[in-house]
Amino acid sequence: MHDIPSFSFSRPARLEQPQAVRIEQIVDEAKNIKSFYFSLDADCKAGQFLMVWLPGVGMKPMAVSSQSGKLASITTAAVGSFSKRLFELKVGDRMGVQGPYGKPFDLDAGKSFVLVGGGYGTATMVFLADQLLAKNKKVTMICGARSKEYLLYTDRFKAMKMETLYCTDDGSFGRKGFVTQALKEALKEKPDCICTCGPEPMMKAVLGMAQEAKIRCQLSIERYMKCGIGICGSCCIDPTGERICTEGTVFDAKRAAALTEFGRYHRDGSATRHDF
Amino acid sequence: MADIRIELLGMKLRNPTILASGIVGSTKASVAFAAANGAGAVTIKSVTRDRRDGFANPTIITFEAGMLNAVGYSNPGAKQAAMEFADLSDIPVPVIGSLTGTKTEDFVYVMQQLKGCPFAAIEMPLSCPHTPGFGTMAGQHSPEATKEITKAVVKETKLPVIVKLSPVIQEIADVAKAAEKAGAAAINMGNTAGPGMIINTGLKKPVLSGTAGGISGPALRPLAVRCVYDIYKAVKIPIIGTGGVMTGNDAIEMLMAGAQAVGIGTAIHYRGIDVFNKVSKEIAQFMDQEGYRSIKEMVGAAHA
Ligand SMILES: Cc1cc2nc3c(=O)[nH]c(=O)nc-3n(C[C@H](O)[C@H](O)[C@H](O)COP(=O)(O)OP(=O)(O)OC[C@H]3O[C@@H](n4cnc5c(N)ncnc54)[C@H](O)[C@@H]3O)c2cc1C
Ligand SMILES: Cc1cc2nc3c(=O)[nH]c(=O)nc-3n(C[C@H](O)[C@H](O)[C@H](O)COP(=O)(O)O)c2cc1C
Repeated sequence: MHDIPSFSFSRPARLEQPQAVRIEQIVDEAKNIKSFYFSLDADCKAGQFLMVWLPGVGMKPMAVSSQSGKLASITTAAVGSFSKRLFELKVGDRMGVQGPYGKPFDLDAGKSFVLVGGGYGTATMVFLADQLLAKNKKVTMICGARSKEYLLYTDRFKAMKMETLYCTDDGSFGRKGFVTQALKEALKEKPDCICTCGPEPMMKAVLGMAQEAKIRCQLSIERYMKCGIGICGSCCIDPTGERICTEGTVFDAKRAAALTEFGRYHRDGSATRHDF
Repeated sequence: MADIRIELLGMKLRNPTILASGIVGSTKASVAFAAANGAGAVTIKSVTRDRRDGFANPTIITFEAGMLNAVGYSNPGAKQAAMEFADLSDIPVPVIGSLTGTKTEDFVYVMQQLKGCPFAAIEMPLSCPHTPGFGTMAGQHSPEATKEITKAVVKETKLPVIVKLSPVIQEIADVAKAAEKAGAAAINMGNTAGPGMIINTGLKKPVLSGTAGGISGPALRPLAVRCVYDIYKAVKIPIIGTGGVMTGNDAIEMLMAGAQAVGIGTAIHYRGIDVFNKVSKEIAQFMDQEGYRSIKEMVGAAHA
């Protein structure tokens, strides 16, 4: 008789379905940005995301912005129909949550890290800072926004043992100018690794600076997603076809630089191309 | 080491595993990724006449024995797809184009648009169980409709045409025969079953936004194997066995039922994108242990 093993699920036999969770807390973070806290029975790592389901509205990917014990959060910007409906929810309401998914940041990429966040990408960076600090790494946080009222987590940052550099386009808080200028200064200290998440033009600029300075860099990349589990193909990126939900979201500099699509275009839910 | 290469519809495949339509596949890079991970051939996601966004999310979820999907044929439309797949020279394996429509004219229109793409074959599902206007929801699975659509597309192309059937049809042999008579070069047996439904009890709603969706993965396999077994007796054209193939042993089961190659989709979720390499290795291992030298020797073996 042949001894080919019969199939056993190589992943934990987890159901990839949204689970109903109760919203425990809602925090107003900045203009049009809120955090939603709920209990989650899974360990999340920075760079991973959850699929958030509002029945009758949709299900969208959202980065994990914190986890403390069983209490986890997402931080959402109100931009369109889904996020605006999410903003109508109150403490005690239910929503569906599925995941987490995606390859996280490598926390062992060095001893000192510079984190660069823009927009709701800062959600991923603050959670990463939590996890790095828990491992006694040195962290410098750089975050940028248009103006003071769009800056995220200012209170949360204050309570964290790290240096935080704020940049606003209009100079209404912190330095006036882009995060790249602050990064230039931070690079003088020769950090071991730069991590970034935010608008793609920003990440592209950060990647360029990291490569020039020959400093390790990790980027959390975003693409349109439906399933989150590597099947639908919506988030496959050119030219490698890697799935951002599965082979990503975090790419190191070398792999990110090979993505001809990065910083140039992306596809929507019908796979139609759009330039940035 | 066993020889797992096959010839199918004039295509030379390094192994009998084929990426099934709609599991990744909307872009050239995505099918190239499956090829880079061992697929013997790859199928693109089905293309329709016009751009479609498909159903709202959730569109794909899993349950204890497989997957439920109602994607709803999201695709950028025939003209965009024709540009996306215009040059396939850097993909090392045959690429199968897939097209579908709500009316016979639409199948023909998409075929015309895709003419410039260097596909090795054309597949058309007449069997989607959950998209209004298409497949079993539109009666495209009847022997009459199968004959009409197949004839029209075969007339439009020199490429071999593969007709993809639904495993929920009781008189499956009649439909396969109708396709063969109308000029189909092969049968893909087949599409997802159902549709089925999953309800979240905490939120009191069907999870899929389309409410019902096609069942794929392990739960589908016995049904698909039986259908392959039935149509093997009814037609002479080759069969691609698709539905729940997870392992080399599952693939061999399909071959023994009468398939010459196997489609693989859902297994990518459970075993990773390199499932094609894994299944190929397991097939070769089985052949070595059981003394088979070629894939051909196993095709239809369960009928002897
Ligand atoms: C890995 C990942 C992590 C994300 N993390 C966050 C987060 O922490 N906070 C946050 O506010 N947003 C996050 N997003 C983006 C978020 O999913 C979309 O902004 C949100 O779905 C917008 O939906 P809408 O209906 O409100 O707006 P729409 O008007 O539908 O869309 C606005 C824009 O959001 C993007 N978008 C829409 N749907 C999707 C989708 N299914 N997948 C990816 N992008 C989409 C598109 O670029 C679109 O132009 C993340 C996306 C990804 C892929
Ligand atoms: C998410 C998803 C999308 C699919 N889309 C298509 C499609 O566009 N065209 C098609 O012919 N079949 C489509 N199918 C059916 C598959 O090609 C295949 O026939 C079915 O899933 C059974 O095989 P499996 O169990 O290996 O997945 C889809 C299946 C899934 C799971």
